[in-house]
Amino acid sequence: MFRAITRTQWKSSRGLVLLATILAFAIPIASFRTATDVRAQGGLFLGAIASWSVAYSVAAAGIGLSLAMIAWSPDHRGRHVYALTLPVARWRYVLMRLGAGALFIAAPVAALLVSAEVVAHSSSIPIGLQAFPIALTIRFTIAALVAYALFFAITAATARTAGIIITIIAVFCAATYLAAAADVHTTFFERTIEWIFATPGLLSVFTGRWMLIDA
Amino acid sequence: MMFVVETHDLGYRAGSDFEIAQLNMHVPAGAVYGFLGPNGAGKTTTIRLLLGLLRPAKGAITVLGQPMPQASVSVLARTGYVPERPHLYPTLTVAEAIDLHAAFHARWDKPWASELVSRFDLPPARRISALSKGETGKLMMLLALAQRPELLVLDEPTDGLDPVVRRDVLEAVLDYVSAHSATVLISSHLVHELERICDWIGVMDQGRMIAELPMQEFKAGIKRIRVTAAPRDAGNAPFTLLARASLNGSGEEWLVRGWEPAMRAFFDTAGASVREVVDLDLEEGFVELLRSFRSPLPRT
Amino acid sequence: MPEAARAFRGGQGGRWRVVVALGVALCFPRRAAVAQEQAAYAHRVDSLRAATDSVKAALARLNTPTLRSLVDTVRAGELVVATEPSLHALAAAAAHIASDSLAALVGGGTRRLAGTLFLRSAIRNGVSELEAGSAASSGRGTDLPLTADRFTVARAWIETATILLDGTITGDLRTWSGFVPIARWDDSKWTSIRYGMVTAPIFIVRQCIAGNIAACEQALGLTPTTDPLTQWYDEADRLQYARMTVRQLQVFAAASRNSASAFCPSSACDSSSRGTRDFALRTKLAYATRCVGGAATACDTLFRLRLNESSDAPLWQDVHQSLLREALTLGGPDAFDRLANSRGTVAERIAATAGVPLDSVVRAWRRTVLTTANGPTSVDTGTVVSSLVWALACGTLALRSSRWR
Repeated sequence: MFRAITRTQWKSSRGLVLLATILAFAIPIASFRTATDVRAQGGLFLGAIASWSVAYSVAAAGIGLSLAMIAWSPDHRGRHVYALTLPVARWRYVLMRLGAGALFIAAPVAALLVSAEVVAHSSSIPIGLQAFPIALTIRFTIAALVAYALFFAITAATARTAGIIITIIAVFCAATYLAAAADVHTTFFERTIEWIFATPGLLSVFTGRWMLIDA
Repeated sequence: MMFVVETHDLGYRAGSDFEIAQLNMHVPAGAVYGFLGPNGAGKTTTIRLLLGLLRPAKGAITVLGQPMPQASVSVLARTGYVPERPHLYPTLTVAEAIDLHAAFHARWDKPWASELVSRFDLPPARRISALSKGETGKLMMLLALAQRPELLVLDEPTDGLDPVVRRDVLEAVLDYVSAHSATVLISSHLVHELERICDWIGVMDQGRMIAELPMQEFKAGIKRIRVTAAPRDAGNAPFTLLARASLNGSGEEWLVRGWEPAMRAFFDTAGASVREVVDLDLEEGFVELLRSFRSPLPRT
Repeated sequence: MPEAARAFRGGQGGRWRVVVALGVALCFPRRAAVAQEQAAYAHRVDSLRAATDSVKAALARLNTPTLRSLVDTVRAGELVVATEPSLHALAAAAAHIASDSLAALVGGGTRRLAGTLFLRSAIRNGVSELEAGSAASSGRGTDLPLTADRFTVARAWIETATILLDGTITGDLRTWSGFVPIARWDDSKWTSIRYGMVTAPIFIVRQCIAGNIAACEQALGLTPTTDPLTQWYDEADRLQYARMTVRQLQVFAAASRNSASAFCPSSACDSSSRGTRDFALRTKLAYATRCVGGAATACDTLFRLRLNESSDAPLWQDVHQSLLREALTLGGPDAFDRLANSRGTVAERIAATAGVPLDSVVRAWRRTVLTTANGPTSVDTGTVVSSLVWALACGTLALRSSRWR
């Protein structure tokens, strides 16, 4: 059953997986190319590498989000009737969908690792700096998994639940803006954001230094 | 008599406008049960409740001897379902959809599935999204049949199909039923179609079951009777009076259910005389039944 | 005019003085008022001073631990602790911990703590050190609650001891390093040194990183440099400095136009000093702009101006401390003693501390800087675990969705 699910899910996801693989391979190479232009100056080199940091976290989040949505899109179109009439326990079906999508993250992760290792073995890294291909790949993998699991849960929910979640996020953003505009001093928003982005928050893996090469 | 599908005081509410209340349904084993009702009667909702797609607010459901929705996994393994609207994954080809379905059904009959592909003339390599309505209908029927179900639940399976396709689909169903003694629950508003294949009938309207009986009994039981000097009071009649209308001075026309010839004696006793007894076909009987349900005669 | 009234009552001479004073007051009213004000002010200052002295004395009495209560003495190695009987056990345990740690850090250098009394007192509720024989606390210490455990007390004593030992190092080395890093360094400190060095836009530092030990010695200010401009910086460094200068001075100029007192230290806020400062900055900006435009001589001039302002060695005190730290590590337990006893130039003292030639010290230091393991981009275990837990939680939520139950 899992193989059948994976095959069908692959059919929907293969385009995205290919794109994600190319992207994951390209980012380390591109960041290194821009940095080698200024490799003579360590500070500028690291600055160039750092300028690509956000690309990794955005790529990981984007891959997770897209795979999660694609995992459920065929069922959404049929209003889940087909899945709900299959003779399989529902939790098992959801788990199979979750696992199939998670498997597809392996391809971009592998591409990132290969690309990062290529950069790490380059002779153009200035002395005193080190490459962290494994650490970067681990961070990328975990970030993609977290994003995938989070959006998988949201898209697996009923439209009402997803609407509630989106409404909460929208209200929070609006409240933050209004409080700032009205000059209301409160630490609620900072604490909430810190709770989400600092360890052990949900999105803590997305913060930190996404540096392929560092001191 | 053994029942493959039973509901007891089934209740369900969808929004503030629609409710299924006190639904008691009994589908005998081996029957081809026609589930009749106008649009919006609750047929599809009832089927979804039976298959565990919806959870009832109250009441009990038993399918193939097991409670639903608790035993949905084992029941669905023995039940073939063709929904009202196509539910297959549009990006898959016909062959891929068959493979996917086969992976979930242990009793899948691969040779027969291949035979049905040829019989229905389905192109294996074509995407589902590129199939015509008839081809999609045939594919859904193939998937339901090839898993060798004990119970076939068909929700408007021929709706929108041309006569040729309709015939192919129904023939396949009947062939299967006769070969395997399966039970079929087929919902439709195409009354004349059901008349040909069903041996039991259940009529639903406004979330309630208003009649459930063998087809012959239903057809035979509803009559239009022309009566002269009709008695004012029909409370103690041996039949069910569904409606009565004046015939412009030449008597009355009564619509009755459960008529038997011996019941003429009621009129004789009342000093009335029966001028004519008119048989109604299923469609007429269905319409009159609905009409009487929606506007019942006042009790006298 | 109370003085005038008293003088008037004081007799004929006093009366004449009053008349004269009145006459002066009538003829010169402003001067009289000023004199009166000054007298009142002086009187007020005197009374405030007396009050402050009195408060200070009271505070001193409150803060000074009464030596009479510190009757127990604990000796652990070279460490001498005075404490109260009720705190004896804690003090003894803390003293042994501190003594062992200090011996590991500075070896025989703990002898230099002789004559210093460490205190653990309930009255002061703190830890302090006191010159033996002195009745007054020297004020160096850390306030700790009475509930502090032996490790906390020991840590406070070690910190105080390292400050005292640091004070025994004098001479040019003090100016060069700031203070002596007696305590061992963790990896993060070495990594920050590495980060600073690899990002420094300084040619000679890059040479050092590349393996040129002589360049390291120059960059650390251990060997003389004939021409800092050409030996420390290359063209790219000068150009980068020029670009940075242009950006900074343009911002400064805009701020100065908007506010006359912006960036104006009070000592230079009068018009003549502002004028001098503005002229210097305009000159600098002109050279920087021409340097960015490609005029190499302008780059040289700009850099000479910079070196005129500060011609210290290009690497900063933190890096100097790291070299000293490496020397202490290489030198073993007696390294600190040798450092304290050493004389001569900074380079000679470092070599003496380590007990090996200077270039060996620098080589070892460079290796430590470049190889100390630290993964700034590594995901810490906490983040990994929490993220995986969240992923599992989200997956479980998906299973629990109402659509699927």
